[in-house]
Amino acid sequence: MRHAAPAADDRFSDRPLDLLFVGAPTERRRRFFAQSGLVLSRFTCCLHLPEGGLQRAGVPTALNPAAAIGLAQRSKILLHVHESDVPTFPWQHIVHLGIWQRALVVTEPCAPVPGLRAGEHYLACRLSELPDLLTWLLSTGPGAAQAEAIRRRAFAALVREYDLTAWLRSLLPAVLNAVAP
Amino acid sequence: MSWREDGPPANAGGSAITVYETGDVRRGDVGVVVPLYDHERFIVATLDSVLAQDPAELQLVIVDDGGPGPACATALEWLERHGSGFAGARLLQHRRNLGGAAARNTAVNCTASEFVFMLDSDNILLPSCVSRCLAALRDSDAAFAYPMLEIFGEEVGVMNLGLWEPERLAHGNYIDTLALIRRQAWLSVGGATSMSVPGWNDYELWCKFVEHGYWGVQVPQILARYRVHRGSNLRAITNRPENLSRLIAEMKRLHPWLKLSAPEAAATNAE
Repeated sequence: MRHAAPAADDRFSDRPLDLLFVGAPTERRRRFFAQSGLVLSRFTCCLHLPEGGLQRAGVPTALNPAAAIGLAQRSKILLHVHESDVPTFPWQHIVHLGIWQRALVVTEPCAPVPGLRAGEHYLACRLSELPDLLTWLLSTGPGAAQAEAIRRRAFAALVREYDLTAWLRSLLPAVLNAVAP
Repeated sequence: MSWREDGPPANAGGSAITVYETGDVRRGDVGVVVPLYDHERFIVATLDSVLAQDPAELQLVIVDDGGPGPACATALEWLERHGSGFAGARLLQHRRNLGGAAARNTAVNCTASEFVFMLDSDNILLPSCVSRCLAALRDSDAAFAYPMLEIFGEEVGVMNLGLWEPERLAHGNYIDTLALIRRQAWLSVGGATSMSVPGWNDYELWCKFVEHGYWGVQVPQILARYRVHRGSNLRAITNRPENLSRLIAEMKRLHPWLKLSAPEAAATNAE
């Protein structure tokens, strides 16, 4: 992917990759992608499912974080499929690789977290419904409009609800107390 | 990397007769190569998937490798109905069974296209497969492009998930034959090598590519379907313990840098 990183205020339609998925190839994910291959083949996707963990024989097999973020910044949709049947909220995927990079997050239902809600800041549906939802978002005008609205709302909520400066300011006195002689 | 110099024809091991020919085999950027041996049940679905590729000027070369069943007749019947849908189409037939490597070499030798797409006669392409692999090669200096595959039939799953990694190839194959290859890269390594036991032609080819400094690029989405069935070479012949041992020894002789062991070899995706 040689396209330059898009501007911060880029449009949904300007992003060259339709969909990005990054995650270990568990059995559950293998089944999902096997069943969704035909639908996803209609779009420009990047599926990264490194086998054998992060390293094999000392050689990295997973994307390094900078590459993953670069791909996310060029993607319309960051897709998340749970590793197992446990519906966690994988912060590093949904927030760090998705909302923070201004991609629309589409996922299976996740555990709730403060300030970010399904339907408002990301889209969630059952695994069996994901292919239809992705098709609607990527190939219809109303779908693209909803995607645009949600990803912008999500980024604004993230900046508002998770203000790093305020968090650090609240932590700093405790840190200074701990290191003081 | 320059891909313009012509290499010699790869060794096909024998002569082939032309059963069917239409169009101009020199037209089109991509020649789809289908070796055929007794896959009569599957060949129509395979060929239909080639015909259904996104707009592209394709050549189609089928080589019947002297199989015992009616697969060649079925392919001929299909070509008589659909052959005009290609820039050029040919059905060739080996007089006797020479193996998959020889069939692929025969096919590549009769194309003039810049790229050759390797498709086994029991697998199926999704409609954007050739065009997306072609875009990947046009955008890189890679010698070949390979997509992720959906496993279907007697198993369900996905494969071809790994990025190009020669160190990983040292321990076993993880990239299937189904790939778009620069014809000049194919010719410059002498094409496919016939092994003493059927199978591992793809693995052997990737090893030669490593030794020539060539590399492959993964197209990171599922663009084709890999059929698992009892009649496949991998299941019926290649993975027998005595055959695996022979193949491992042969591969180590051809490529001394390999670190193959039997368990790793048995887990290989190679055909």
